[in-house]
Amino acid sequence: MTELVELERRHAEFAKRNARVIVVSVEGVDDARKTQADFPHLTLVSDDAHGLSEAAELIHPHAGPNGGDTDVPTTFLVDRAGIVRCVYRSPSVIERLSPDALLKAMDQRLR
Amino acid sequence: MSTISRSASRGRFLLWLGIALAPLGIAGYVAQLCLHWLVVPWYMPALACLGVALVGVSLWERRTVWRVLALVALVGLGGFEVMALSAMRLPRYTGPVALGKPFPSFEAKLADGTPFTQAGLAGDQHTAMVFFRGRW
Repeated sequence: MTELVELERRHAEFAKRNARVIVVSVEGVDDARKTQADFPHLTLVSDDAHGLSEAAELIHPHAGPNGGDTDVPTTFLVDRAGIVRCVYRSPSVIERLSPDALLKAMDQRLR
Repeated sequence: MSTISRSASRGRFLLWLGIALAPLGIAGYVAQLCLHWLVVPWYMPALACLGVALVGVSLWERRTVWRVLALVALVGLGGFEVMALSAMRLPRYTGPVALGKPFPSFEAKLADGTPFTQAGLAGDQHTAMVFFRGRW
């Protein structure tokens, strides 16, 4: 959740770049709704059926609480035409792309 | 006499400095988390290794049970930190999402339950899509 706190805090800088931040997890709609309430400037996506996570091959099996599946921390930048412009995979489960690095990637990769 | 005393004093200083470095690494990681700085804290095992070296030198200067125990504890802690951080490493992304290509088709839901699909990625705004591990 720490990464969401930082992304929410910097939301104005994403808006300035005409970009939205969509955050995805394999949790259900109820959890997504709670998270959405906590982070109103982010767009929460519930992927409890794994439709999105499996399409991107991001499922980390049995890595969640109680042995459930979860997503591997990964960030994609997609431009307005729906084309992928950046792929970032964390080198470790405890490392995340910082908002500064994400904004820099946007400045470099998105027009 | 004074040479022995100076050597013992130096050995004791190295012992305590070495012991202090391990919790310093842990305290640094706590501070890092408080600052929301999410990077791998490789300095933790590095400080533990430095602590091992210092305690090793102090043990070389004067062999005592306490110094042996301190060395064993620091080796154990440093080894545990290296293993834990190594176990958390992730492989490179090799999935179907590729630069310069459309995002693969998918179906998911927004927090209000409305459908969210590949078509929702195209529009007026760019998108940063962040996959996170969940509320837990």
